[in-house]
Amino acid sequence: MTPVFEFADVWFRHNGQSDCALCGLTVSIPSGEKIAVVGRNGSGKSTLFLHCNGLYRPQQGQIRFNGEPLSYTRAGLRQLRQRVGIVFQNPDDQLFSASVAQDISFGPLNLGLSQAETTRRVQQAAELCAITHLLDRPTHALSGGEKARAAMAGVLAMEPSVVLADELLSAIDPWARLDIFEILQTLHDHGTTILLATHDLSVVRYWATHVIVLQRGTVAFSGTPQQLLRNPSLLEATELSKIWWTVELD
Amino acid sequence: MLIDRYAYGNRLRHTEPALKAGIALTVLTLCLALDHPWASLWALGWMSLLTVAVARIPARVFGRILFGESTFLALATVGIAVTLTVATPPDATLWRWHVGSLWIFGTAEGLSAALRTVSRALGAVSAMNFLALTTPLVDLLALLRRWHVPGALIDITAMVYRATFLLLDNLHRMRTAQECRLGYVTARNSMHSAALLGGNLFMKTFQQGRRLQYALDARGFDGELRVLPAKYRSNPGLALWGVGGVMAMLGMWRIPV
Ligand SMILES: Nc1ncnc2c1ncn2[C@@H]1O[C@H](COP(=O)(O)OP(=O)(O)OP(=O)(O)O)[C@@H](O)[C@H]1O
Ligand SMILES: [Mg+2]
Repeated sequence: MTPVFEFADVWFRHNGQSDCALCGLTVSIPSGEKIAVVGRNGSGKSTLFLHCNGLYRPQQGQIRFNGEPLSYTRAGLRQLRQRVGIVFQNPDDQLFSASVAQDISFGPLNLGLSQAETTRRVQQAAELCAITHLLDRPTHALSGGEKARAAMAGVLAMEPSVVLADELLSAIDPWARLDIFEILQTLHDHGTTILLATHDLSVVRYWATHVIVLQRGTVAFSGTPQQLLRNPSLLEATELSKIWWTVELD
Repeated sequence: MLIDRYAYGNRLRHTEPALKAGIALTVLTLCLALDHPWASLWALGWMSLLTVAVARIPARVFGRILFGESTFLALATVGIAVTLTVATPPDATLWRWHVGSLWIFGTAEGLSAALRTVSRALGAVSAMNFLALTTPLVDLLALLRRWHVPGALIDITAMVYRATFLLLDNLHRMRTAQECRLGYVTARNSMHSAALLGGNLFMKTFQQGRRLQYALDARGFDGELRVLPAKYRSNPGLALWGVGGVMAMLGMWRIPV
């Protein structure tokens, strides 16, 4: 199967920064998998995600989506963003509307859907994310976890084929996390490719079918969780052994 | 923000905003156009009643807001009721007061003009309070859109509204963070902390604005913030109240002053 994304020697430096955030990153991201993206703070996870959606453009190198080089024209970006949804690290960056329902409706309406279809999608996404009781609330009057779920619903309502979630779980309590994993499982069952940036070993071990380890703007590892966790020298090299010292595989 | 919270949680929240805006604007216009103290006082009492008894905004909250506004109005109208001269005042004054070479006095006309202005302003202000406390800004913006106010203007207002909350939120968080680290224990370091906060608040909010732009782009933003219109209920009861109140106000107008 064609990978959803192929990064070939991608370099990116933030405005006014002398260090590169992506430093010759090369990776191919398999389609239809549940992918955990791990790496220390500043290793480039968010920057990688923003490239997938065309929000950042490589200063050098190339990105392919479903085998085609990304097109940065208006129409090209529109098509890309229709299929690639991104839930941001901080939901406050994403929620702009005064009411939750209206915020969720923003994406579908931008896709040119009718009001009736949009209403249906808002309802469906809200049910999926268990926030139907919050639809009328202003977005600034939600708890952190509720905001995260509202932000997620806003992306799912566009029915993308790839969902990127940047540390979605950090503000969510353990019970709601179970719900989120259920949502992600449903999406996966429907063939959606999911990328989740995380620091959590149990996510890597029990949820992911593929792991990408970032280290200072490059890919240190890309493969199955078993390959990673059964390789002590790799864990050592990527400093993961320091935080995941309890890893025991059966 | 207090007003915003009540706008989302009152009994008239789901009532058609055109009706609420219609009532408020009619009362406002009548207060200004009739310029009749009884009609204005009637408007004040009646709008307060709608806000407190019908929309169920706690009287304490409504009172506090109105009190703030009245104080401001009272200060502003002191100039009308009180005259300050060096010349000797005319005979027909209610009261006079000699301070050095200065005369401070008030006349019956001055007082009645001041009362008239205050009642007129209070009537108008209570109509606006009614609207602001029962209708969230989102609904008002949607209404303006229906009334064909240019979209860009509405989008800007909506973003400013959202940005205000982000700014306040940032302000609150940063200030708390500074206080926890003893940033405000002496007058001197309070000044220093406040200056740091001011500078960083700006940068932070600016960056947040940029990330918001990214997030909008990611969901296919193309220059217009399209969202679903909210659903409202019609409210014949309130419409009756509205018509009745306006008729009564016109009736008051016939009372000679
Ligand atoms: N807006 C920005 N301006 C300048 N430099 C930035 C900006 N955003 C990120 N960087 C830099 O780019 C590098 C990669 O950052 P990125 O946000 O992609 O890391 P991350 O893996 O998502 O980290 P975290 O786990 O903390 O979210 C870091 O060195 C960071 O300092
Ligand atoms: Mg990040």
